[in-house]
Formats: sequence, structure tokens, C-alpha cells
Amino acid sequence: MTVLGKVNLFNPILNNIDREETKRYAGMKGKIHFPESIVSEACAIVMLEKHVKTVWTLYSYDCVAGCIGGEYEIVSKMLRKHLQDSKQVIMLAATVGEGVEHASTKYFEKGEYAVGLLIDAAATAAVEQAANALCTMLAGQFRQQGINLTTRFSPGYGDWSLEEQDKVAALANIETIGVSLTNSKMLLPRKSITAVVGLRTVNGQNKNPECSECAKTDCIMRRDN
Amino acid sequence: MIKIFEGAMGTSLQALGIADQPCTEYASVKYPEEVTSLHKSYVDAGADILECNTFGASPLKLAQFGLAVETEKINIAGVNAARRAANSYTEIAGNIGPSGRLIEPLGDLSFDEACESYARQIKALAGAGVDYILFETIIDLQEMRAGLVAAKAVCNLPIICQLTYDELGRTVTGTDPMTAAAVLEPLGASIIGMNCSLGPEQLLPLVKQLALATTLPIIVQPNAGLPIMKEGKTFFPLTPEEMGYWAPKLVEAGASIVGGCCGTTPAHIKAISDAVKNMDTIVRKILPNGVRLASRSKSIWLGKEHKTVLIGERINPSGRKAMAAEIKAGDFTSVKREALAQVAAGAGVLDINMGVPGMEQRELMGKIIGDLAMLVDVPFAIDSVEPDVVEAGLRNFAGRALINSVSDKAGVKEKIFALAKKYGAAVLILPLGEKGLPKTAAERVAIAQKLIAEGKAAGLQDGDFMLDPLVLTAASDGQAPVETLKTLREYARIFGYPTTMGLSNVSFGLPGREDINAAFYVLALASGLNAPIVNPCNTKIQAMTSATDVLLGFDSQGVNYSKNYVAANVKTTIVPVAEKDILNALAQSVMNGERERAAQQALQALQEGYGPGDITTNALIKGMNVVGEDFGAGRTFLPQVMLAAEAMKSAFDALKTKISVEDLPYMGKVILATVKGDVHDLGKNIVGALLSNSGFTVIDLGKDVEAEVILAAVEKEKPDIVGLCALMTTTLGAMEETIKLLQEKNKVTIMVGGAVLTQEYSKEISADLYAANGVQAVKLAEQAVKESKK
Repeated sequence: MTVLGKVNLFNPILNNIDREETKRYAGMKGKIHFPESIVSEACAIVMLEKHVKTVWTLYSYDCVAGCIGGEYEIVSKMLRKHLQDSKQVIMLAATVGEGVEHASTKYFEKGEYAVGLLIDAAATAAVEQAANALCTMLAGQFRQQGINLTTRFSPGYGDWSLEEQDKVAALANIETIGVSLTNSKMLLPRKSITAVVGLRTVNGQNKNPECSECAKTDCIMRRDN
Repeated sequence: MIKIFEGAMGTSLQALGIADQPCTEYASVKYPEEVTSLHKSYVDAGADILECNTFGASPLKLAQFGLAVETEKINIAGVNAARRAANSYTEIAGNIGPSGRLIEPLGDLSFDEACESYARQIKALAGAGVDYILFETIIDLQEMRAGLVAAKAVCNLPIICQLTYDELGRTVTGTDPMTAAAVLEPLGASIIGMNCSLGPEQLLPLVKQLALATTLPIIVQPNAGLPIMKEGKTFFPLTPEEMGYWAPKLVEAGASIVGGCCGTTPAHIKAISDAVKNMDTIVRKILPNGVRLASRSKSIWLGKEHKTVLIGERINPSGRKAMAAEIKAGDFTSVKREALAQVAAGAGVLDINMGVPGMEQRELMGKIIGDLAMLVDVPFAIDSVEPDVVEAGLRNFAGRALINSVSDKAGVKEKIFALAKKYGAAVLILPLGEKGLPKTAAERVAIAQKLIAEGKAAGLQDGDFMLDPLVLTAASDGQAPVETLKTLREYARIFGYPTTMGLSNVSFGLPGREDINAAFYVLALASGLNAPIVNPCNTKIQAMTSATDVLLGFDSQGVNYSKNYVAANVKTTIVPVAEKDILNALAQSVMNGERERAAQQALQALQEGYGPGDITTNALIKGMNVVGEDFGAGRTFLPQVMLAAEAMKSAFDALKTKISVEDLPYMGKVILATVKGDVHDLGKNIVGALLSNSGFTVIDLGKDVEAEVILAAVEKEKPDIVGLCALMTTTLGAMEETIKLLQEKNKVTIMVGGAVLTQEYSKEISADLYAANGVQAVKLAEQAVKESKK
């Protein structure tokens, strides 16, 4: 039984960085001529420089009022729809630390631009993997109670404004994993994310929001079907 | 005879409505009759062993309800409630669940805290007279290790270890049943198995896996199927009859104790009991010989029936000044790099030595073992002869490690054997006597024999020993290698334990050491060496390992050998370009992103009499323009553009060695900055890289830059263009303010870009130019400079 409001830390093990995701975040699509050794080098550097941490906290959710923990009312329509079957939600944050950023900048300064670019992409892949590892762990725990999890949803997805990052960050307890928020509501270290996951007490999978439902047509994360 | 375990306690107490006052375990104190009555119904249903209502009664877990102080009371009440329901032959298991927190480095709970919490609960349970200590629903191997270490320290009861697996056959933190067996059996578990999370159908294949990996009795306690939600409540769908259908299959797969977890009732237990009670435990296939080592997520065998395992030797600061200095400064980058490189090169085990002169090794070893286990998934050999250093490593390693090593040194060997027993580690026997190096094989065998006997007296068993034959230098004693090989053969003949040794000593003082090492390696493998301690990145070692695997029958038809051979022999040759004209060839190299070739060709062009301007315009920029066009059309992607820029840079760098910088074409000066409040600099870096290789002088002010700082730089440097970048909606305001300030004070062309910017918005904030990407930024900058010069 998980206690509401309790701050839970989890540092997942990442034995590798997903190469295909790295390439995707770097903007490469399909089969193209690009040295795999550069992808390997960037992934190896991120393996060395990453400091993976995640944190999660369980809150009650009023799906009629769209209110998390009695204090944060969701404006985003897409998020409300995403959480429509949930009575509880998990607010989570994940980071891979700031070492990866310094590494990327260092390689740009050395004139190894492609590695620098790929390090940034591999770090994005790593923080996504960290958040996925946390969600997999949580899914396993909650499945024992017959509870399914929704996919994670972050500020900036669809119509959930990044302006809300401060409220999300506070509920996710980002400071416990060494993440802070700038005055302009950016997460530091940069390769950090916050997200919400709904606990679904009905059977079956909910339909994940499709990229086609989202207005951001130039999004690098966009998957074309 | 199959033993039957009691079914669900928590879900049954929930059904009675007494599970949350304030926690399930407190029902034993508040409603002892109801709890006893529930136990009784399980006894009546055929349960041979009852599980006390103490699952969450560790002080760590009870603290969530402010009840840690009542730990003893709650556990004793739980045991008594079960005892009252027992028949004369009913046994009682003190039930212990997870602490609810993860142990470092996965979580914030220390191994010691976990041990302490468990020890307190176990003492209470043992004191109240339970027959077994039962860990169940454990999701992390390290937590199970802490529990076992604690249990062994405070009682002599048999210990049952049940982990919880998902559909993929792994615990939440990545352990599979075979690995669990490899770790828990030597650590002193009496019975191992699994419970919860899955139903009998899903657990069946996992029981089969486990049966191949352990000689211990196997317990399985499935849920009544996979849970589903019904009217807002968790519901387990399998009927008693269905559980009765599956139970015999679990026994046939190797289980000798069967019970039930969530959703099972006395009726389910009765059905299970009726179905399997009179079945016989199956005779299981005997495990292969050898020594098993494991990480949290992987187990491996070492020994004559298994292919050669390389133990990576590179994490050793002795004799490596740079690594030692780094470690001293608290920097583990080289250590981590070596770990990754060795595992990538095929190391099956990593040897970890933290012998940095002048540093306290104990803490260092504990830390590095924890850190490296987050990075790679192979088991470790803890390389130290100091018991406290070894213990720090063993404690933090969520697996089964090898202790490297123990020799015949009184006062130390006893401690090392005790540690191996306490933490379930294997131990490497080094036949060094107190009289120094034994010369002959016979002397070495005698010392090994003595040490093995002492190890066994300390509780270790056949699968816990590895042997080192001692490798001495051929140059100083011509017979030394012969004696080493003889020792290997004698070890194989007398003990049959797996063997290991460091190779490189043999060639010390000789030229061409690699050849001697490789030859010695092959001879040693033929004499019975199983797991050499080597540099796995050495290509000769790799080749010999791969080849001998074929010759020793571990690589059927040489499939792996062929693969390795092909991979090792792919040559990255520079394909000659058909283009005869050097400028066109150079443009081609830029387009292909070929750095080395671009540098060579730039110099060649210079030699052929082309001027720097010609080379830049008609080769480098020409090539880059094609890349830029392809990028604009979606035919190439950003990483390829960056490679082209690198090729240009290397061509420029080569030219600069022959001509002065002033002779290179100069396009103009650009100041770049990410605006105040914005911490993103990738986009700016990309633009900077492309501009500086297109003849621009770039002054990069960095990220999160105040408007005033940018203004000051503009006044000092007098650039042709200022490039401003903002990535997020939240920093567009800062961009607008910066532009205002610059335009008030100075007349300079302002270019903007960044993920959230659009052409329209850039106009609104009065920017002169908007670049959607780096390639466009270069084009716009070139045009702007040209126009201003008109």
C-alpha cells in the first residue's frame, strides 16, 4: 500500500543507451549514411557522465474537478482526458544530471560537432529511459492491486503548457533528486523531466493520445504514423 | 510428500474489514480471535505451514503508521494467533515482507538500516517460536540479501526466500530466477521460490527455470490469477478448481511446497491440497559442475564444462598513475570507462582493485562496487587481501562476487572464509604459504588442499572455490611456466574446481610480450585454465579465446568465431574518389563528412597552386551548400550537416598550418548568445559551429546571458550580426527585452532562432532576421553581410 504524499526515490539501472532513440532525437530518420561509431561514442560518453535519479509521489485525483492532490487544477483538456479514469495519480521526475550537458558543450568546443549533437540526443534518450524504468517499476507494483497505469504525460505535451512546470515540479518533489527550476520555469539540469501518470481502476488500456491529436506539427518527438 | 502453505492473509483480512486499523498486521493485536479463526480455516483446508500475520511488521514498515515502537508486540501477537490455530503437526512461518524502500544505490535505504530493521523483526519472531523465517513478495535482490544476512546473524531457523517476478520473469529491479538461485543458495537460504504478482499459469515457466538452477526445495505461492478491477475493487479471478488444476503442474515442474497468495481462500488451499498432497517431489536434473557468479541481473558459470570466461583486469590503479590520481581526486571516470570498455570487449567478470596508495580502501571499495553495478551487468571479483575492504565490497554488491583472493596467511584466511560464508561469495585460493612462493606443483597443490579443507570447515562447499596455479616469470626461471601448467593439470585431476590466473607475469622482461602471453594462454587453456584474468580489450587475447572456444568444443561449428572474425577484420578503408579535380574531390569529402580526407585534400589543393579563397569558395563552401540544400529538402539530417562542418573545420585547420589566418576568406563577425533565463545551448552551438566554418568569426557568450552583457559585447566587438537564441515560451520575453536594449543603443543586425520562435513572432519583437535552423542561419548571415557592404 502506497502512502499518499510520500516521497519515493528510485535510481534505475541503465546498462545501455537506446541507440535508435538517440538517432531519432538527433533528427535522423530512416536508413541513412551516418557512421555508427559516432553514435557509439556519444552513447558511451553519456553512459559515463550520467547520474540517473528519479522520484515519485502518489496523490489523490478528482477526475471531475480535474484536481491533483486538492491543490492543482488541470487546465489542459488533453491531460484531463488522459486522466479521466483515474482516482489517483503519480507525479514523477527524472534526471540524468548535468555532466552530460558539459560533455556536449565540450565536444562542440573541440570541433567534434556531430558527437556533441549526439551526446545531447543520447542524454535525452537516457532521461526518457530513466522515466520509463520508473514507470515499469511502478506498473509492476500497482498491477498486484489490479491497477493499470496510464502512459506518462509531461508539461509541454499537447496543450499542457510549460507555464505549469512550477506547479508540477513542486508536486513531483524535484528538489529531492537535485533538480531545480529557473525563474523562467526550466528544469536544471536540463536533461530532466517531470510527468504525471494516472492510476486506472478500470480494466483495459486507455488510448494514448496520438501525435495526430496534437497541434505541434514541428515537434521532434512527433511520430508519423 | 508435498507440503501445503497457507493462503492469503492480507486480502482475507481485508474482506473481513479489519485490515486497515491502522494496518493489516495490527489485526493480530486488535482482533486476535478473527486472525486465529482465519488461520484455523486454512489448517482445516489442509495447510501444513501457517504464515503469521506479520508481513508488514518490520520496524521500517510499521514506522509508516507510527507503530515501530510496537514491533515486538505485533510480531508476537501474529505468531500467537497462528499458534492457537495450529495442530500438533502444523508448522509456523514468521512472515516478512519488503520494507517499502529500496536499498542504495537504487534507493535511499542503507544496507545496514535494512539489516537492522529485519534483525529486530526476526528476533521477535524467533523468540515467539516460529519454525521458519519466511521472506515474501521481495522485489529487490539486495533487500533479500540484507534479510538473509540479518536472519543468519540472529537465529538458526531455516530461511525461506520468495521473490516476486513479472511476466518477463524478472523482479522489479531486474533479477531472474536463475540469478536469484545463484545468489541466495550460497547465501544460506534453505528454501527458495516465488509468490504474488502472477497466477500459477504465469509462474509455471519460472518454476521450471528455477528447478534447473538450484538443488534447494522450491516453494511457489501464486495469486488466484492476474488481478482485475470489478466495481472499483481488486478481484482475483481463478476459482479453487482452477488452482487445483494448475497445482500439480507446479509440482511436476519442481515445486515441493505449494501455497497461495493474493486472492486465495481456504477453498483454494483445499483444492491445491487435494490435488498435490500425495504427489512426490520430482527428481531434478543435477546442476553442472563449477562455480557460479552473479550480478543483480545475470548469472554465469565458470568451470571445465563451460566456455572460457574472461576476467577483466583493467580496474587496478596499481602501476597506473593517472587512474590512481583520478581516484584520489574523487573522479571515477577512468574506472567507469574501463568497466564499460571491458564488458563491451567480452569480459564476463570484472576484477575490481582499489589499491590506491595513501587512501582508505574500505570506503572506496564499497562506493565503487555500488557505482559500477549501476553501469554494467557482469559479476565482480573483489580484489583485495584485506578483510574489511573485501567486506565493504561484498556488502554493497547485489549479487554473488568472487573474492580475489585468500592465501595461507593465518589471521587473515579465517576472516576471508567467514566473509565468503556470510555474504555467499566464491573465493579464489592462491597457494601462497607463509614460507613464500612454493616452487613446485606438488607444493602448490598441498597448500590449496589445506586451504580448501579450512574453507570447508568454515562452511564453504565445492561450488565456492576457484584455484590459482601461480604464474611466475619465465625470464628468471625457465621452468616456472612448466610448473604453472603442471599445477593446472594437477588441480583439474585432484579438485576439478575452476581455475584462474593472471597471464602477463610470465613474459616480464622479455621482448614481444604479447606473443609469449598468447602462447602461454593457449597452453594454459589446454591444461585446464577456465577463467583467465586478462585485458579483454587485447585483440590477441580476444582472437585466442574465440579460436580456443572452437577447438575445445564450446562453439559448435565455429559460429561465434566466424562472427567475431568478420567483425574484427572489417577495415574502414577510404574509398578512392572518382573525382579527379581536387576542388571537386574536396567538396565531395565535405559532403561526405570525411575529416581526414578533407584535411589531406585541402593541403593537396594548396600544393596544386589553388589559393585559400579558391579552396574555400569552390570546394569547402560549395560542398557545404549542397549539404545545406539537402538538409533544407529533408534529404540529409542535422548530424550529417555537423559532420560536414567537422570536415570543413579539419580542412581549415590543415590550411592554417601552411598559411596565415588572414589569408583565409573573412565573411564577418557574429556574436551569439542564449538569452537571459534560458539554459539551452545546443541550438546556439550548432549555429556557432556552422558559422565559424563558413568564414565568420564567432564570439559565443554562452547561455542565460543578460541583455546588458550582450550590449557590452556588441559595443566592444562591433559585430556585423548578433544571433540570439531562446528555446522556451517562458524566455521569449527576455529575448524581446534584449532586442529592445540593443536597438536603442546600437545599430546592429539581429538574427533570432530557437524552437519556439516563428517568422511572425520575430517580426513582432523587431528582430531583423529569423533563422529556422543552423543552415538557414549561415545563409542569412552571408546575405546580410553582403548587403551591408553594398
